[in-house]
Amino acid sequence: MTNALEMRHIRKYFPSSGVLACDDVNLAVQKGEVHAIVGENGAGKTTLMSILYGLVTPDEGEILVNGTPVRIGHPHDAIQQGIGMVHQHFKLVPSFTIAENIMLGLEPNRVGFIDGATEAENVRQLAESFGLPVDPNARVKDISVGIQQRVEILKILQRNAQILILDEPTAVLTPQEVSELLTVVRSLAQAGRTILFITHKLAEVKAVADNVSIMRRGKSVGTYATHGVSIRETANLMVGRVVTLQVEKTAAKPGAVVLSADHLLVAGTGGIPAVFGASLEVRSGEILGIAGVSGNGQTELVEALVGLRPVDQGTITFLGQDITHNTVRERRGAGVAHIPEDRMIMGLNLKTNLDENVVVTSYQHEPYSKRGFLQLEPIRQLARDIVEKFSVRSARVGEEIRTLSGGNLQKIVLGRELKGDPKLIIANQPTRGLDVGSIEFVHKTLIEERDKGAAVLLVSVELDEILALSDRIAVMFAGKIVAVLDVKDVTEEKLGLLMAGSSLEHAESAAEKAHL
Amino acid sequence: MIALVDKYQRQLRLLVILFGLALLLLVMFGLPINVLQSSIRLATPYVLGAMAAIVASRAGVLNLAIDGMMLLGAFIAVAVLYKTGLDPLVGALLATVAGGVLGLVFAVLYLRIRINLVILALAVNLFIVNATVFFMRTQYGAFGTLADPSIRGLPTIELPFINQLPYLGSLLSGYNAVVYLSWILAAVVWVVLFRTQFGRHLRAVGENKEAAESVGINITRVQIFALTFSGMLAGLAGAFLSIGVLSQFVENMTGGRGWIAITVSLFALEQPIPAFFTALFFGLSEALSFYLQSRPEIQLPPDLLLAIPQIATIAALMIVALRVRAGVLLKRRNFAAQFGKELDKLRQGQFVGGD
Repeated sequence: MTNALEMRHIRKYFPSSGVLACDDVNLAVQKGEVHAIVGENGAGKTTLMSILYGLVTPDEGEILVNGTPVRIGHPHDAIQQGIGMVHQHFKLVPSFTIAENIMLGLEPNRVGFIDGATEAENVRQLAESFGLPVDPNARVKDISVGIQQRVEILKILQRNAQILILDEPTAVLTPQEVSELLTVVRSLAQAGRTILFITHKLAEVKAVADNVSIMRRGKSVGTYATHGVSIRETANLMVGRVVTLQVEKTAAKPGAVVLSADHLLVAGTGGIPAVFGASLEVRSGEILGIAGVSGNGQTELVEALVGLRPVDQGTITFLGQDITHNTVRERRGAGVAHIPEDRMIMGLNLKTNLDENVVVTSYQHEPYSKRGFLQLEPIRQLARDIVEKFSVRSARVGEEIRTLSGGNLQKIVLGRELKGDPKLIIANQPTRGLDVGSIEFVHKTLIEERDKGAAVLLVSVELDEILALSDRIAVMFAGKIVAVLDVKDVTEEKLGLLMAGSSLEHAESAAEKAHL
Repeated sequence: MIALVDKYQRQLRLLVILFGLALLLLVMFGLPINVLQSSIRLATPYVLGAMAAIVASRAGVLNLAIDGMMLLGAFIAVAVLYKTGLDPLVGALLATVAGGVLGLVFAVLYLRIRINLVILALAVNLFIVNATVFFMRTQYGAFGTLADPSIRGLPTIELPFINQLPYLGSLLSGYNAVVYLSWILAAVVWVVLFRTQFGRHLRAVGENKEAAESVGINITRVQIFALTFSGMLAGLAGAFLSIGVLSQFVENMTGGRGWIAITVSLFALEQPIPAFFTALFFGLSEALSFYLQSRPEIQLPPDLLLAIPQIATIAALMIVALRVRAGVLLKRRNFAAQFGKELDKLRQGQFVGGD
C-alpha cells in the first residue's frame, strides 16, 4: 500500500540563525491514520510542517503525495495537493462571520456580488456533514478559541484537504475543548482523512494517535505504533537520554515571605481568564518552581507579578506592601528583578549596544545620569563589570550585541537584573534554547542568589529544571496553582498527573499504587 | 465615570441621538436655507476624501497623501480647461484620472519599492504643493492664483421632479454634477465593500493580511487597486475645489481638507454611510464659518470663526479617542465582573484545585 504522504531526506539550514532545523528527516504517513509528531521545543517539528505546507523551502529532500513526487513551493501548491494546515495562531478575520471566514476566497457570487444566503447554507451543510456544528452567522471575534479552531478545520475541509496538519492544536484550548478536539480528530480519521498531529504533550499522543514519529534536534528518531510504546519511553526518545540534571545545592534556609499573591484574576488574550484564582508565596532564601504544561497561565502570571499585565482581582503583596497596581518601575525600584521569557524581544534590545542594554533599568539614577544627562563613563564601567563578573565572552563595551550567542545574551540579562541584589527574582524559562554550559551557569547563578537571601520564582516548562533547582514546587493548571509540594515529596509521576489536571489526592493514591 | 457610562449605556446613546436631532432641527429652522445649501455643497470634498480614506484604510494602508492627491486633482482640472474651451466635465474626469495615477504610483512606491509609508506620504504632499506652484509660474505665468475666463466652472444641474418638492427640493437639487456624484459614490463604496467579492477580499486584507494570504488572495494586487481607487476619489474631490466652486486654482487650495477627510473617516469608524453624514457636519461647520463672518452683529474675532472646521476636527478626534478608550475600559470591567464573581463562588464553595 502506498503512503498518503512521504517526506524523504529533508534538510533545512537557517543561515541567519545558524540552526540546522531539519537534518535528513524522513516521514511516512498512511492514509486515514492519526500520526503524531513529537519533540521538544526546537526539535524541528514546526519547520518540517512548514516545509510540507510550502511556507519554507527545503535545501534538500523530496515530498511524495500518494506515491507521486510533488513540488510544494507555496501554500497554494499544498492546497492543490490536498494538504491543509491549522496554524498555531489562527488566520481568521475577527469582524467576519464564521461563514465569511470559511468561504473567504471561494465566495459564491454572481458577477462579483456575493450570495450571502447560499454561502451560509453551504457552511451549515459542510459543518453538519463533518459533525462539527457552528453558527455560520456568528462573528469570529465573539466566539471561543475552541470554536475558532473548529472554523479553521472547516476552512481547510472546505478546500477539500485530505491531509490535515494540526500544529500544536491543544496549546490554546481548555481541557474540555481538548477532549472535544481529540474526538473530532478521531472521527475525521475514520472518515478517511489523514491527520498530522504536532504536539509535545505525550498524553494526547496516547489518546489520539495511531503512530508517533519522534524528532530530536532536527533528526527523525523513528516512528512507533502508539500502543507499543509507553509515555515514559517516548519521553526518553524525545530527550535522547535518561535525564538527570545534577545541580549542587545545599538545603534552603527559607526566611520571611517576600512575595505573596492571593487569588489573582488576570485576563488572557481573547477575554478569557488566563490566571484564575492563583495564589502563591515565595520566601527569601528559597526557590519556588512553577511546573506546568505551557499555556496554563504561567506567562500571564509572571506578567501580572512584574506589572506588565493588569490584575483584575486579587492582591499581590511584596515585602508587606500591596503592589497590585504599581508600575513596573515602582516594582523594580522596590527590588523585583525579572528575567523575561524572550530575551531577544523583551529581555534585550538587539538593535543597540551593550552599554545601553545594561543601563536601561537604572539609567535614571546616579551615577548613570546627572541632572538629566547620561554619564558615559559610569555606564561603561557598569558594562565592564557585568562582562567581567559574568564572563560574557566576545561582548565589548560600546559594541552591538546582536551577534552574540543565546548564552552570552542571557548572561547580559542576568548581569543587569541581578545588579544591586534584588530581593525577588522572577525567572521565566531562563534556559530556553541555551547550550549545556550556559544552562549550568544560569542554574548556578540562581542558586547563588538564593543563598544570598533572595526569593526566586522560577517558571519553566522543563520539568528537569524545576526538579533540579526548586526547593518547593507549585503546579499550575488552568490558571490555578493546584498544589504546592516540597521537592522531597515529589516524584515525576505525581507531578505529571498534577500537571495534567488531577487533584492532589488522586495523584498521591495513583503514585502509591504505582509503587506497590 | 466609567461605571456611570456602563450603567446608563442605553440612556446615553439615546441622549446622543436626541442631541443630534436637536442640532438638526436647530440647523434646519434656525439657519437660512442658503447656509444649508452651501453646507451640503461644501461637504462634497469631505465626502469624497473620506471615501478615499476608507477604501485605502480598509485595505490596510493608511493613505496620508489624500491632501496631495486632492491638490493634484484641483490643479489638473484647471490646467486642462485653461484656454482649451473644453467642457468642465472633461476637467473633472482628467482630475480623477490624475488622482488615480498618483494613487497607483504611490502604491507601487510603497508596496514594491517598500518606501516607508509616512515618509512617502509626506513627500507626495510636499511635492504636489510645490510642483503645482512651479507649473503655475512656468507654464501659465501665474502667481498665487490661476484664473482665466476660459476656465468654466461646473454648471448647476436642477434635478427634475425633485426640485418641485417643498423645502427638500431646494436642499436636494441645484448643485453641480460632482456633488451628486459624491452621493452616488458614497453608496457605491458601501456596496463594493460590503456586498461584493472584491470588497470582502479588500477588508480581509486590511484586517488580517495573513488570513487573506493563506486562502490565496493576492494582497499586493488588492492594495494597489485600493490605492488607485482612493487616488481617483481624492482627485475628483480636488476637481470640485477648483472648478466646482470658484473656477480657479489657488496655491495650496486644499487648505488641509484632505487631512480633515481622514478625520471624518476615523470618526465614522471607517463606515461609508456614517462617514457621509459626518462629512455633512464638517460641511456645515465650514458653511457656518463663512456665514458667521458675514454677520456683523456677531462679536467674535474672524480668525476664530475661520477656524471652526479645525476646531470641529480636534473635537471629533477627541471623541474617537475617548470612545476607543472607554471601550477598552468597559471590556476589562465586564471581564472582572463576570469572572470575579465566578472566582468568588469557587473560593467559598470548594477547595482550590478540585478535579
